[in-house]
Amino acid sequence: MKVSRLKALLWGLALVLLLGLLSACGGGSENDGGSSSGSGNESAAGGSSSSSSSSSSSSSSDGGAKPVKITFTTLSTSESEQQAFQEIFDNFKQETGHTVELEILPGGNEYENIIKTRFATNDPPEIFYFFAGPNEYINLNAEENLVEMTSEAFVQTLTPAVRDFYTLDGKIYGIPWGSYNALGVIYNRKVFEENGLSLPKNYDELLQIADTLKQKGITPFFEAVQTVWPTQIFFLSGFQSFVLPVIGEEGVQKIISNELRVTDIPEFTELFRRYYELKTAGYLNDDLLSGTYELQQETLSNGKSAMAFQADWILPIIQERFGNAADMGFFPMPGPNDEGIVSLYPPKQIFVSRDAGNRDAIMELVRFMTSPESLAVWHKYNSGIPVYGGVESDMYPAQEDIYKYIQSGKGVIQIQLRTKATFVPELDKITQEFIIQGDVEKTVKRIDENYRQDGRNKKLPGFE
Amino acid sequence: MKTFSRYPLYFIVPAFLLYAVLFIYPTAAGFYYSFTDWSSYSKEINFIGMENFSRLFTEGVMQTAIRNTLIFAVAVTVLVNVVGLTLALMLNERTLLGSFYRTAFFIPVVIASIIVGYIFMAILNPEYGILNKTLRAIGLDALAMNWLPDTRTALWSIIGTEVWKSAGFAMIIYLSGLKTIPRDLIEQAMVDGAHYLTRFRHIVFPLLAPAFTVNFLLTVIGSLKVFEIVFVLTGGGPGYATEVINTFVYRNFAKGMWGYATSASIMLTLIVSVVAVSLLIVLRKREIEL
Repeated sequence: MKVSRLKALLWGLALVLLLGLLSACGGGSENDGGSSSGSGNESAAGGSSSSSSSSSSSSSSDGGAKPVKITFTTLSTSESEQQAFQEIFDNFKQETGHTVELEILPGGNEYENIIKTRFATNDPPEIFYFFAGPNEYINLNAEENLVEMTSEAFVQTLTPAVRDFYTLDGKIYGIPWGSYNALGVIYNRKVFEENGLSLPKNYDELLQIADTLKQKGITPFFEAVQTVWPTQIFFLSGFQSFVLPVIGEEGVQKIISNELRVTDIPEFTELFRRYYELKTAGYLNDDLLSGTYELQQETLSNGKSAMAFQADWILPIIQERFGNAADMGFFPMPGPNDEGIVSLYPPKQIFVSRDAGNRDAIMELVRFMTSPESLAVWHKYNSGIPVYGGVESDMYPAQEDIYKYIQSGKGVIQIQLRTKATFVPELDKITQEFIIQGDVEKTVKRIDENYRQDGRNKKLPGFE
Repeated sequence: MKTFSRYPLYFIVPAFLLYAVLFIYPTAAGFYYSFTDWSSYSKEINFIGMENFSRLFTEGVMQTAIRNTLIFAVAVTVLVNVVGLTLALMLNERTLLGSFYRTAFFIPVVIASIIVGYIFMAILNPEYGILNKTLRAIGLDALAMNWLPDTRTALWSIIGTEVWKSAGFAMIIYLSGLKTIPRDLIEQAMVDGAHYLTRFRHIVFPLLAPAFTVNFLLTVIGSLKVFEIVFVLTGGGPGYATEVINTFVYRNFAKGMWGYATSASIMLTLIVSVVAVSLLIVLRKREIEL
């Protein structure tokens, strides 16, 4: 059988290409954990991560003398956050010689999925930024997976409200990082001024404002339905103003312990009906389904939309993209009879996983980041209400509004973060589906079932 | 052929071991775990019987997922085979142009689903995508819809993308099937005065039965297991409108509900097995008759 030279050449070429591809894939990726390779990754199939963590913590006892590489994982948010991180890490490198690499993953619910999947497959991120709240301790199985922070120095410098919020059973696992955010209505002050509108004193007035704007051809509320997560904000900010005054703190505790079901709270169902009413009355953007977060920022900024149910984390992005974040204002979701209560979102937190190789270097990083100098760097890029004492921060006018509400006692931490079982898994998809389809009963039922199922999954008492 | 070499049976042991460890064991373990409450929230694993399965059906999303998966499978299978067969019939010449087009239509098959997803996300973008821009340019504004965000068109947009990607594969298999049909059969039929369609119906199509079986089965099985293209294009959304079984499994796995996700996955295995085996029996019978 003759093999022509051409054929041999082509086969050889194909083989070389294949080998080249394989070696490129293999050589490019580095183990996370930097120099101490395979510390957490050698766990036997089916073994729990706690058995391997004891071996890894003893192997990294070199005291951080050698410069190591740490990977800091975060979700993609605004440019300003990434710049701040980068500068802090550059300063850290100058001071200690350790390199910190910023790993940016997609945000939103996807981020949570990715982090949890990595923990599930024994490839946890060493140090990572995660969502706020002590219920994330349960979500991520903190006792097994995360390093406890209760005795660290920074805990003492936290503002008491945040410290209390983050303590669960006397322990703190996360490092609160960022600013307080508030959920409510972000509005374009210039549009309001030009149309002679003043802040609504109750929900009916808000609807009247929406009507006036609609007559003038301005979109009253822009909902970013395609981006999924913003559709939760109406509900989360409305809860404080509509449901909380009726059920009170007592009712919230009952929800937390599963003694009160949300399907039994008429105001809860009513809240969703009101949300859908906005759509049927034509107060939402016309192209509802293709509304994205980016478009929301754009139309708020250029005045084509007057308001959005959002949080003040949109401000740095508007500033970065359009430069006029100072034109934005904030007011809480108005209640039936009053101005409403601000729904507060304490800052997200940084976690360190127990399996991380360079524990000493990472803890050094933690201490460095929570020092006043680094915090100042953060707030230089990200104005907002600080949570550590002794830190100055510039705030956008909208944030100053929020601060005033907080100071006058009109701010409550939002319901989602106070429950042990979370509303969160799939709440965004549920609210997105709701605003498209409008089936109030089905939605409330599903939220209730999800909530109770989550409690059962986490084996919380009272949820069997 | 009378002689065959007899190799000792233990020659298959290495391959069998690999198969057992990498395939049989995980599948069996999957069966076991689907009856437990294995999750990321507790270290103990308890046997809970059929609870996972009963939850699957009362939860509501699973029913949507199954419905969407079945619609997807049927539509993709039919369209891929029709398009693939048409392309094969058209490109069965030995011309240079035929050769070029065969390669062109086959290339999407080798592009990773994720990349295809990203390409089509750009193409189907309601404002900037070339599909809508073309439609508007030729005056068909009414047809320029919100392909992916609209619940009515989302699933069909994904089906269209999958057909674009997989039709080439069906085409290649049908082409090789066409090559086995003896030319004199066709020529005799032409002499007898048969039209193209009659020839196709009575000669070509029956003789293509083996290729048809292969294609049909492969497409059905592959499309029941769809994940990447749905995940990239819509993530199962908007809401749950394009949720399929595998995106459901993925979400529950990421939530930490491992036992539950495994039971959904086992259910998918059952569906695929039932469909594949019954189709195989029906289609094989067709082949023997000819």
